[in-house]
This record gives sequence, structure tokens and C-alpha cells, in this order.
Amino acid sequence: MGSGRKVPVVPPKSWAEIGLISLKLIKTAYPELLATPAPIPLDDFFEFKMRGILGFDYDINDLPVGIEAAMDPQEKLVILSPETYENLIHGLARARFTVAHEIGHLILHAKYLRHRLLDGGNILKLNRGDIPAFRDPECQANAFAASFLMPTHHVDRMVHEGAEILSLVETFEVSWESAEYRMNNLWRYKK
Amino acid sequence: MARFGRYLRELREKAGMKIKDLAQAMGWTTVYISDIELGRRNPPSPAKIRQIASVLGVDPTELLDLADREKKKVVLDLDDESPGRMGFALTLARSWDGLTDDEIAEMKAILNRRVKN
Repeated sequence: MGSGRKVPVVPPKSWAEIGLISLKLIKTAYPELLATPAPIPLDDFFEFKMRGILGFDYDINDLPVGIEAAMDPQEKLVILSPETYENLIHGLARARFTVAHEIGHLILHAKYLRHRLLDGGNILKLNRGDIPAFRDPECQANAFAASFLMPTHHVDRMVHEGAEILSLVETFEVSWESAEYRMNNLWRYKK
Repeated sequence: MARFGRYLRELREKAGMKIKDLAQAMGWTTVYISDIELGRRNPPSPAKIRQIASVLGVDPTELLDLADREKKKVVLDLDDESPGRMGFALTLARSWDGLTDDEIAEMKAILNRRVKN
């Protein structure tokens, strides 16, 4: 998505905070993955755990062209296009990141947006280029997805043991780009 | 409230079956199943509901019951070679609006005895 698109300005969150939120979710859903670095079974989470843990249901539906997934804070739904759902089940890295990104919106922004909408309050929207990353919902959701798919403590240990980008790609079933980004931005998740 | 859809989702999840698995088994799209489960579409036909139940390995009775309640309509398979059944169904349909609570209770008692036997 382009940086010119207007998005709501959300309450600030540090990357370290976001990392802890993702870790808490892993602990609740898949505690065994705290000890062992392995891919988060996102297709399982989406259909069998998300509603119970986060209170949001799931939907497979046709979305506007170019939209792969969406989060509806009022209907409490995470919606995937049929293609994204199919790719998620097949473990495609892009779909996995997309779904993790929407879960990030759900955890980090749904409550805030719902309350603002219910109160009839204004939601300030600005061009993404005019918002600092720590108040940009898309940056926050990306930070969440990265740390949910590749937990900080695992990546930290792997990097210290000399792991390279390919190890992250294979261990966590993520794309090369997101693994590279994760390695280069690891310091941001540490207090 | 789409109780049929909610119950179907519950049963499918309990069976550990994804929407995609059920879609493949039924020859439907994933969007169609999601629509049914979220109540955006009416429940499918009784024959299809029986097929769903068989795929999920569950008794179809509750699903059929919820579907009928949701559609506010009951469909009977009438056998043309059985004029007695046909006549009874038509008489019931014609009398439906005027039935009293006592008459309903009386007929229900007869049918319940049959179910128990």
C-alpha cells in the first residue's frame, strides 16, 4: 500500500511493547512454541483459536480488488479473500504475513477504533508519510506480524549463533524480505 | 440470529475440519460455506444438510431442526404413490392456521408415541 493513503492515527506503541503482546499471544495459543522455534500454525489459529482467545470470528469473502484481508472492528470479524485463505492453508509466506498483520490490527487497534466509532468521536486520519511509525497502524501491525511469526528471543538466539536470513525463512515459514527486515530491526524490539 | 450457521461452525470446528475441507467434500466454495455459517445465506436443502452431517460424522437431526426453524418452513418429501400420506400432509397444511393448542397437543401425543416405539 502506498504511503499516500490516509490511515487513522492510533495510540503510540513501542516495538518492544508490541513484541511482548505477540509473545503473550503465543504463550496463550501455542506455549510449546516459546521453547522451540517453529512456524506458528496460522491456519489453525485463524479457524480454531482466534475466536476463543481474541473474540473475533473469521470470514472468507470476496474483497475489493487488491485487498487480501481486512479486519472489521464493529462486526468483530477478520475477513480473508478466498485466495488469501487458500494460500494460508498452503503455508505461503505472503498469506501468513498478511493474516498475522490483520491479527495485529485486531489486537492493537480494534478496541480503540470500535470505542471511537461507538462514542461518535472523530478518528484523526492522516497520510501515512505524516505519521510517526509508532502511531501508524500499518507499521504497528507489521511490527506485530514480524514478532508473532518470528519471536524476538528465538531470532536473537539464532542470530547470536550465526544464523543467516535463510535460516529464519526456513524455520518460521516467512518470506526473505520479512526475515531480512526482522534481522535488521531486531534492536527495536529490545528495551 | 443465524443459529443454524453458528451450530454448523461449532460442529465443523469440533470435527477439526477446516472450511476448505468441508467445501471440498460438498463441492462448494469456501465463500459459500462462510456465508452459511455467518447467516448471510439460508440453510441448504435437507438432503444437503444430511450430507454435511455425514461428512462431519454427526447426527443431522439438530441441524435439520435449526434449518426448519430458521426458514420458518417445513418441507415434506411426498410420495405420489402414497395418497394417504399426501392427503394427510395437505389436510395438515390446510388446517394449520386454525389448529387450537389442544388439537396440537393431541396430535403431538400421537406422534410422540410413535417416535418412542
